[in-house]
Amino acid sequence: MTIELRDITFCIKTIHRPWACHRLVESIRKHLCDPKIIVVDDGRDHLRFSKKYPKTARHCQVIDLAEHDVGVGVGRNAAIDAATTEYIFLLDDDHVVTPQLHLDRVCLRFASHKIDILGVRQGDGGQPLLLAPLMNARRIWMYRGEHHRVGALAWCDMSSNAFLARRETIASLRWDPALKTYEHWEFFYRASRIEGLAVAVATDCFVRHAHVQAKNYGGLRGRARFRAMGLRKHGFHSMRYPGGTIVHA
Amino acid sequence: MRDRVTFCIKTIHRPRCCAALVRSIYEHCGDRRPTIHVLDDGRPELRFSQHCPEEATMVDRLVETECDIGLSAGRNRLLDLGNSPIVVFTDDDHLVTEHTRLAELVAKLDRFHNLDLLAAKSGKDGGPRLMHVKDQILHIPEGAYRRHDFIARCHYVSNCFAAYRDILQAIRWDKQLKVEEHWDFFWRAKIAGVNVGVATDHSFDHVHVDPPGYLRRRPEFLAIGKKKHGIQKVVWR
Repeated sequence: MTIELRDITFCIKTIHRPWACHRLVESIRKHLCDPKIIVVDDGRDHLRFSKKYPKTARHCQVIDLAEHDVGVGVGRNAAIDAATTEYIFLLDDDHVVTPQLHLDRVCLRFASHKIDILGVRQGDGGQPLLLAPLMNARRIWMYRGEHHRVGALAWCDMSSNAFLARRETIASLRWDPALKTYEHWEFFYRASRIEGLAVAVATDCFVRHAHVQAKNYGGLRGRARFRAMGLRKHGFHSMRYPGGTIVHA
Repeated sequence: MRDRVTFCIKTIHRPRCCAALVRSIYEHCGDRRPTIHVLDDGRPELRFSQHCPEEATMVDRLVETECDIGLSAGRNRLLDLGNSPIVVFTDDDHLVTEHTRLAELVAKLDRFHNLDLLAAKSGKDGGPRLMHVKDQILHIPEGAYRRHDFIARCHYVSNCFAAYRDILQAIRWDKQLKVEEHWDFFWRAKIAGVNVGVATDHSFDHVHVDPPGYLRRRPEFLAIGKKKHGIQKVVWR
């Protein structure tokens, strides 16, 4: 089995960071030949990617959702549902693709191993992470670690948001539409710990993570009630982060 | 104590050491002794139950497995055997003494909410050590990154400690490492962010006894560990 670029759709959910989205799309186009890109935008009209960067947007299938702030879960699900290729590559809108992505390597490894979700590093982040229940499954611990490794390929429970997967796998797993933010660990908790999907990180493949703190974006991101919602959904009262910080639902 | 703490002993071919350890738990913990679980992966003729049947009846659970499953697999099975929130691990040639003060050691682990694993000293050794990698060399020098109330916060301790069972179940020992598992375990614990310390005013006795056919140096397992972590050498400084 080989995976070609034409078999992949790059899926991007964006809100209120049109410049970042433009930068990402241009970076994909610069380093890959005629890529298929879907952008789902749930921002306010005047802050839409398609409004601010119409020339760049012409190279993508842009889905401007009618409802503002539907959240990351609904937005990503819409992108996955719209894709028609066998594979999707998920990206955050503040990622930047560079030659260090080594997409050919990512595709080759995905095709040669039993992997359902293959993430890449994002700058210094995106290290392989594990998830373990503590305190009689009342606390979830997210920590750096690996199940096993073959060369630069590390199997784990959770990767970054830059990953390759079969479209069908993700369309069936989906993001929880109720979680507008803090959706990441919850998605991977279901993927690895509940559904038993094989998650891995290609630790020698990278996207750049150039975080953009837009004025109209920060308030949408830091909404702890969505973290609490995700934790309670799985019966956890708290989470222990890799640095040791504990947050309660 | 019995509901909250399980003393886990993985033993092979040192039945008298194991018996002495079990007796020392009874002697120094009395009515406040922890539950005792023993896993023996020795050959039938060298088993704890064969050589020390009386002490074997003093433990709450004795598991005899196929021969030489290894330290890591043995400890992992002990971890999954019980459900007390806290476990104590030592080698089978450690002894509990009046300097161990096991109940107090466990109380200290409980008291400091940001401690996951609290060791005692192993005889006169077993002081705190740090771990870092530089130029593909794993350094494990003596030292601590913080000290308070006789507790030294560090990355690496001896194999005589109290810890939360669920934290150890998350890290686990690598079962492909029958020996040389100790630094691998603590390196992965460090990367995971496990909070480790040594209570330098507590100690277990440790008089090493070589069991029959014991091989201290098994370089093939060191090679597996080094390859796994991409390092060329482990140095104790």
